[in-house]
Amino acid sequence: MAAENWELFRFIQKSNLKTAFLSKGDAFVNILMMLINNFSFIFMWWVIFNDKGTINGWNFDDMALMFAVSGLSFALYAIFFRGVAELPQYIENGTLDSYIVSPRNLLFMASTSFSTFANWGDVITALTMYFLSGYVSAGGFILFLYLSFMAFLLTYAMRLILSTFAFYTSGTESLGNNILMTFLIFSNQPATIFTGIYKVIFLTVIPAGFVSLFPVALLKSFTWTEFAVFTLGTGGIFLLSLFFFYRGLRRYASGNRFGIR
Amino acid sequence: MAIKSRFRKYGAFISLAARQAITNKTVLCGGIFLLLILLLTYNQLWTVIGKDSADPSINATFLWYLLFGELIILSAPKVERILEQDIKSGTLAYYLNKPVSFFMMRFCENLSLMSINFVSLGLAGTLTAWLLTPQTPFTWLQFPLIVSLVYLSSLINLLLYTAVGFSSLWLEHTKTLAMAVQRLAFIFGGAIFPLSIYPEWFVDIARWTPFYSLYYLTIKLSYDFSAADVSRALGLNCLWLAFIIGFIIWAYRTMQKRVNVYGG
Repeated sequence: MAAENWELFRFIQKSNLKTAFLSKGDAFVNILMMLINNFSFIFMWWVIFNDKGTINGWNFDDMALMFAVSGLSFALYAIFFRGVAELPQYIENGTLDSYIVSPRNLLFMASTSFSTFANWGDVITALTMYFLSGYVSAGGFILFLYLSFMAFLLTYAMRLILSTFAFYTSGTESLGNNILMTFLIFSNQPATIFTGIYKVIFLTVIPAGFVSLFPVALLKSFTWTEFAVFTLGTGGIFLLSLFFFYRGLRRYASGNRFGIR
Repeated sequence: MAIKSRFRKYGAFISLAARQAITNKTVLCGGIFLLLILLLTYNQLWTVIGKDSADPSINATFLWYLLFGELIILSAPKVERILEQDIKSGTLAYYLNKPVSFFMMRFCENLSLMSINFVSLGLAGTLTAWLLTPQTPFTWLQFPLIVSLVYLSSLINLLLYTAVGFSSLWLEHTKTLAMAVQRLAFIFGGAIFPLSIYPEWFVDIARWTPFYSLYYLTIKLSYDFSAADVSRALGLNCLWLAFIIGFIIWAYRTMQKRVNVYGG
């Protein structure tokens, strides 16, 4: 079953790449725009750190690590599983019907139904920032890949939880996008600015700390305790999102839409 | 009479779009929620920086600055996506033979959405910023003029994204171009961090972009208000407005010709 899904996943990704390269010039312009987008944001923070030195103990190298992890995790979500953000639309207009009748896993099919090629620019940015961070080592690189993957699971889980609101009420797509945007805003700030009640929110209600605070701390100095908290925290939220989705799915009433996929 | 009926026609588009925007409360609330999160986050950032640099007033100065910058950014509807869809799907061909200008119709709809967003975000943002930092860096007498200039910048910003939307005549996807334009506004316009903290060579480059007057010169008035700066911001913004409108007219005419060639 897993092998079949993997084959299907590879096939979908190949198709996505072929579609993106139908117009090579446009594909490269998209990546270039994403690079401009990312590096201009990074430049802005470089200017701030150049002026202030450190912000509550964080320096620009820490920010570089944070950009690396958050960039790669978001790229994995946007390139491979962005369809999860389309779920509210599928639920509201009944498109979900055609995924339900598919012999493949419903959530897998819906999640891989949409992809944005431009986010390959995020992969380039993330790797560049990791190698510029000053914390580079072979073991560190493997850890960076693992942390980015877990941060991706968290981003996916957050979006899935927000998408499941659509099972209960209508017009939630934009609200979900805004809450995810909040998550991304939180995860792209120096983690040390969040103190007191903000830190509680940062690690619980909008758990962006698992994308910025923990990965940077682990890449700087690894401890098994932090590693366990990070893994259990992200894994737990991912499982919770699956629970919410399948619970919400029970409420789904077919839109009687006829379609073949 | 003809002019009056034309205004009535486009007035109807404005009123219809406004009613739709007010009805769609989740979208309005989502935008307000995002603005509040930004204000709270950057309030934390500037408070921490203020403590580190022993300058507590920095928070009030830059929080209000951020509010005006975000008002321009967040009040803009996704006009480029609508135009891209219209152009790609050929929908615009259906509108070209109607007794309304396709451009004016879309512009009026989005101007209406922008104004509703501007008012709702402005009210919520002003209240939040005032609660977070009651000592404003401007006097309340200057406030109406600053808000008017920020509204003008929002209007030019809307036209800028309209121009991005028309670029889908040449580009397959305009989403990433729109994102890049937004990021360029952040850095060249200093929409988050004011240009005063950037190196001089960078500010010299920024001066040649529309973002400099659209954002920085306008929103800087919140902490550095003078008649000279007001006229400078107004003058440069009018110049860029003329340039952007010129591009839109050219792109719109090109688009009409292409639709004629391909038949929609």
